[in-house]
Amino acid sequence: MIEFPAVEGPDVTVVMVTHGARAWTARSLGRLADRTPPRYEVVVVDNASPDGTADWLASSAVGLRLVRNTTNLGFGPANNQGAALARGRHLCFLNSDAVVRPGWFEPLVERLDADPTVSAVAPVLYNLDGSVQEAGSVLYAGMETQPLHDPASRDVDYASAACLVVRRRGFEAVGGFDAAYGKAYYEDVDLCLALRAAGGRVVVEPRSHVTHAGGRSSPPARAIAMMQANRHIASKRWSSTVGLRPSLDSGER
Amino acid sequence: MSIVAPRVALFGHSDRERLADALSSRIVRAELTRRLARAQITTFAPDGWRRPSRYDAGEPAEPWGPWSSDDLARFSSEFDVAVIEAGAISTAPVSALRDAGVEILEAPDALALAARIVAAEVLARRLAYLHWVSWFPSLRPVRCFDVRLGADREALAVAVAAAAADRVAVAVIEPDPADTPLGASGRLARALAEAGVAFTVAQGSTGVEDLVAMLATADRYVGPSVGAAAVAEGYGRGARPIDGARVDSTDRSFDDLARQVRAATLARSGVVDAVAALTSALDASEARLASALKAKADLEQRLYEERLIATETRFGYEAGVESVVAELAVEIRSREERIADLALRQRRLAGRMVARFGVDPRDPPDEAAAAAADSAPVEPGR
Repeated sequence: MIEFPAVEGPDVTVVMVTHGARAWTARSLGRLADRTPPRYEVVVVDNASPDGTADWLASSAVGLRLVRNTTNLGFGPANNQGAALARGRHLCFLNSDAVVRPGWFEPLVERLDADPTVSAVAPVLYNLDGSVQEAGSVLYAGMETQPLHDPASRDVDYASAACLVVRRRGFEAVGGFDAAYGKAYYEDVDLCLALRAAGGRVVVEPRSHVTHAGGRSSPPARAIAMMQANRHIASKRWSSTVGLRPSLDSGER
Repeated sequence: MSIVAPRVALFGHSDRERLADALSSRIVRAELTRRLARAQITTFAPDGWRRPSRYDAGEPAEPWGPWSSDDLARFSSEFDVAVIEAGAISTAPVSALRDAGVEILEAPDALALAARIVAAEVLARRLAYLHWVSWFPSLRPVRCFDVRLGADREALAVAVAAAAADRVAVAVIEPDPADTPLGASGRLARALAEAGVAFTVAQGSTGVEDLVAMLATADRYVGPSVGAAAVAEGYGRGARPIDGARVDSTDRSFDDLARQVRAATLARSGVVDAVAALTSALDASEARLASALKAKADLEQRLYEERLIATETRFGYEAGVESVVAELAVEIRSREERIADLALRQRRLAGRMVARFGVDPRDPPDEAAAAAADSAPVEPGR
């Protein structure tokens, strides 16, 4: 049984979207409960998991709010559902295959509370083998993305929503995740660019560490197709922002 | 010294999950900020951050009371004025604040301006999301039903019959979740299904922006929520769309409120200090303006000069190309004469060296000497 604390005035609302991957969900929520001070609440939105994840959550986790969708509404829209129930000042979007490490929470909240110009803050994400997966990312022409691998405190174009803490006011002010991206991919890029366009900053906080298994829920071919389609949408939408940047393959970077 | 910034304590009910309360706090804050850009506004609500609401935009209020005399004294020193929202007049601790010497001002009913608080592009984004998750019908027109209609048998029957007759689709919304009676949603859904009215249900997981997006798009709102009705009217929906006169009147009331806040702030800060601050700020502003004007003039002058140079260069080339060619020909002749002179001097020098040393400097150098020169160490940096 995983137990989350009952918090009247949470600083952070952790929003997790599930679609299968019950073992990872259990691991992620278990570490979250063990490694986070009682200043948060949890909302899980289950996107019609085929493996009984929702039933397992209902019976095995106490103190979280569970939203059950009868169809897979996608990552961004489901996160919007969770965010609409949030009471925390900040929203933490956490993938079900992301496992927080000890001490992950405070640096992220401190960063947002200390600097009102910061709209979103991300931890350093690690692969399962311990290598750095992403410490924020930069964008190139055509909305090609390039993860940064040195864990430094810096402004970035965007950071993966595998674990991303966003000021709720800023999230609501830009209208949340855009449903134009459908089921998955590039919705986090779009959100970060929208936050930046609204005058906020997206930063990486190197004192916070999270392991992210990454890309386990979609078959590769389908994932690539969705990614390419959404890259096109994002590229058109944000052409004035990244259109003049060098190409990732041109050697200009 | 800078201009005195008003320190405003705004009392409302932003910690309740009611659309009217959420809208009121957001609108009053926005309208005051629009008029008093430097104002520092702190929102207060009965439970404040002890019971944050999902409608509070992630900025939970400070709790109000219970306050000791020390708390009230501190409050009095930290704020210039307390502004009470229209819906909180009867609940805010007005007497205690007044006894502590705090000036109390009442905000106008702000809901007439409900259509201002969410940007158009955000509404479009939220509406796209609501369509995606099937919480808002794609059919047109759409009518918003408050889920609480399900608790009023008579009102429900009238509303459903009207929706069927008007051939509208219905979006069931829940603007005030705190007041929703159990079972209302199910009864409403059954009534709509029996009448053959297409409908979607979005209760329980919609934020303020979602609700505003739906109400702004629907043909009307049917239900008891004051906030939802205000939004619909604000966007010109339904039988009682808001008229411009009411909007203008509310705007004027906020103008008055801003003036009162400014006056109260100046009164507390001391008129002399305030005038001195204003004068100083005006002086600084004028200096900045003069500096900016000079920079602008310099820039315009430079721009003029650059344009002049560019124009002269262009037209000078086109008009004077022949003279340029002539000048170049003169220069070429001059250089040819110089080369001929140098050649003559070199021949004379060679003649003198042959006569004196028997060596002609124009002969090739000794090969061994040349090889030694090639292999000599090269100084760094060369």
